[in-house]
Parts: sequence; structure tokens; C-alpha cells
Amino acid sequence: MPRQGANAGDQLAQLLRHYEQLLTVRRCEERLQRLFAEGEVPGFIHLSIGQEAISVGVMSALSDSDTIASTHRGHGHALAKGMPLEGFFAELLARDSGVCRGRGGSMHVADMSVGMLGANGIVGAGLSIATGSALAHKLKRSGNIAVSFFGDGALAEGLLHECGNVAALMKLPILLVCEANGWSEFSPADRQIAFNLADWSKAYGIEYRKADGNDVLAVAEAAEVLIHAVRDGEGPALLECTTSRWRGHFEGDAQKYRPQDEVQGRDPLEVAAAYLAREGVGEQHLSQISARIDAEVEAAIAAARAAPPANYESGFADVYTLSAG
Amino acid sequence: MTKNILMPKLGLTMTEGEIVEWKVAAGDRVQVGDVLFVIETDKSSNDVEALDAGVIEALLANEGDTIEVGAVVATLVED
Repeated sequence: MPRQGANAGDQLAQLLRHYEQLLTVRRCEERLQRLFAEGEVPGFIHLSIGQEAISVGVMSALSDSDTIASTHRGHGHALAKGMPLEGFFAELLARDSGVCRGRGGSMHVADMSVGMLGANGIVGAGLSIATGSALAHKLKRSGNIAVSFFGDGALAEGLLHECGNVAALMKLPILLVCEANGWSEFSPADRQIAFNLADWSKAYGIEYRKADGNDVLAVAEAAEVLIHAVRDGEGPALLECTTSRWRGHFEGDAQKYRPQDEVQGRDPLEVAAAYLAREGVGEQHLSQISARIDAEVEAAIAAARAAPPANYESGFADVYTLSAG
Repeated sequence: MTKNILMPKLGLTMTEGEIVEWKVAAGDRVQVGDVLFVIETDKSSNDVEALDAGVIEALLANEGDTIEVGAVVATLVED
């Protein structure tokens, strides 16, 4: 949603929407942290607590028919793109009412109806999914764009280089968003990566910007400028957002490799709350928002718990073919 | 309200964990994030932190016991 020319009321409304989305992602993941520890979430989860402003900021500049490809740390992407809370929790709790009928779980949440092409467990794999989607947008002349989210851990993957090349060569409508949290799973990124993205972008002729990934407005503004150019047919762009991963690589990771005194990034919620305070939105208003979101999240969890489990018998229902070989 | 403290699932393949050490005793007051006990799994050892603040009511497992994921290892009276 373009902010240029918007009046003060629109800006405040958008800031409130940002805050609500940030808080929704945070609350959902805090609840998942507990649900996982207590054994209610099958499989494996990776939380994006501390990184929410990137999802929310980028998504605010997209339309429903733009597409995104996510990562293993994808809850924020899914929710900010508009995946409904009930379908989300039902999927995470492996219920038949989940967005993927409980077959995907955390690392394979997808919802085509909101342009969420899916999380996936392969580092960097979203890059090629989004590149393919961008090619489809271009061939169909849909006016839509594709966005690939990836962490700095994906910079050492071949796919980044292949997709950067083909996207630049074919001038595809794609925005690459690097969520640079400084860690490649269990290793500091600076011990894994030999280049920086500003130089890399130059090599491929890709427009590059860097933003404070803990500041939702900084992300939204940078995303909006880049997305405008991408939508206008100027080819791919790259947005690098610096941020901080508050939890372990996965839930249950004791992070013994991580220095105790590592500086945690600013809290995206506090940054957004400070913007709101400047606009005269006080604590009381924020706590009303918080209470409403808590109630929505609890209702979604209750609905998921009450829903029937994923149905093994229907496992082949949505595959392309049943023939073997 | 009394809450159950469970053997957590830490990671994809964990099915049980050994309580290596209790860091709290019955009657202790704990805050969210305080370390309650140390567990050892087939892969690693981990501190298990309090998810709620309150007073530890009872420890239901001994050091050295191997407990299934999701089983109750202690109870806590929530603040």
C-alpha cells in the first residue's frame, strides 16, 4: 500500500496494522514455543521471534495476488501474508482443518489463496520457487511480483547465484529479501560467507538496498521503493534486512555455541510502539490490541485442538497421479 | 492453579530424556525462564526453564530417571 500522498490518518492506520501484525506473529510463536515443549506440535519448529518486522514490513507493500516463497523459519511470512489463524494453528497441530489438511506442518505451510507458496525445509530452496513464480507472473503479464525470503545462511547455496543470474538475465519481477540474523544455523555467518550482498548485487546488476530489519517502517519504506521498480519491469531487486534471532536455530536448541553476551537486536514491537506513542497512541490502546490478539490466538488454538486429526486415508487425494514409477 | 511441568520435547527425534540434575526443590519460588532441571537426551544435554512463575509443589521424578516426552516430572502452584 503506497504511503506517498497518504494523509496522517492513513499513516496512523497503517502503523496500527503493522503493530497488530507484529504482535500477532509474536503471540502465535510464543504459544507455539509452549505447545511444542509440551508435545502438542508434531515434527519440528523454528521460531522467528525478533525478526517479525521483516515479514510485516515487506508484506505491507504487496497485494494479495503477489506471491511469496518462505523458509524453514516461515511462520511470520505465512501470517503476515494473510494466512488465517485457524488454518495456521490447525496445520501446525496436524489437523484435517489445517491449510494443507495437516500434511505439511510448520515447514510446509502453504496457502495459494493468499499467494503463500510455502515454507520449506531446504535452505535457499524458496529462491527457485519464487524465481519460477516470477517467470509465471511475467509470462502472464499479471502485473504481480514474487518475493523470496531467505536467511544469510542461504548465501552459500548455489541456488542464490543461479536464481540471481536467471532473474537478472530475464528481468523477472522478483524481490529477494535476505533476513540477515548473523547466524547460519549454528555458525556465525561471517565464518561461512565470503562476500557481501551489496557487492554481489552489483555483479548481477541487481538493485540493492539495506534496511534495519527490526524497524517495521524502515523495512516497509525500502520494500515499497524496490517493489515499485520491480513491478514496473525494471528487473529483480534485493533488500537486505539486518535483524536478530532471539531463539535457537530450532526449538530445543540450547545454543551452547552462542556467546552469552551477544547483543540482541532492538525489539521490533518496542520500535513500532515508540512510533505509535509519537502519534499519541498510548499504553492503554496497545493493551486493548494485545488482549484482542490474545483472544484470537487462543480461539484459533482451541478450534485446532477440537478439529479431527490429519487423515492418513486421504493422503493421496491431492497428488498429480496415483500411478507408480 | 496447579500446573504440570512436563518432560519437554527438544528437537525432532527426542522421545525421552534423563533428568541429570534438579536445580529446584519443593517449596522454591521460580520465575519464568529460571532453570528447573538439566536433562540429557540421545543428542545433547539441555537446561529446562520454567514456563510459568510460581512455587514448586512437588518433584515427581528423581535424578537419574529416564522420562518419556510429555510425562509430568513436577508440579507448580502458579502465582
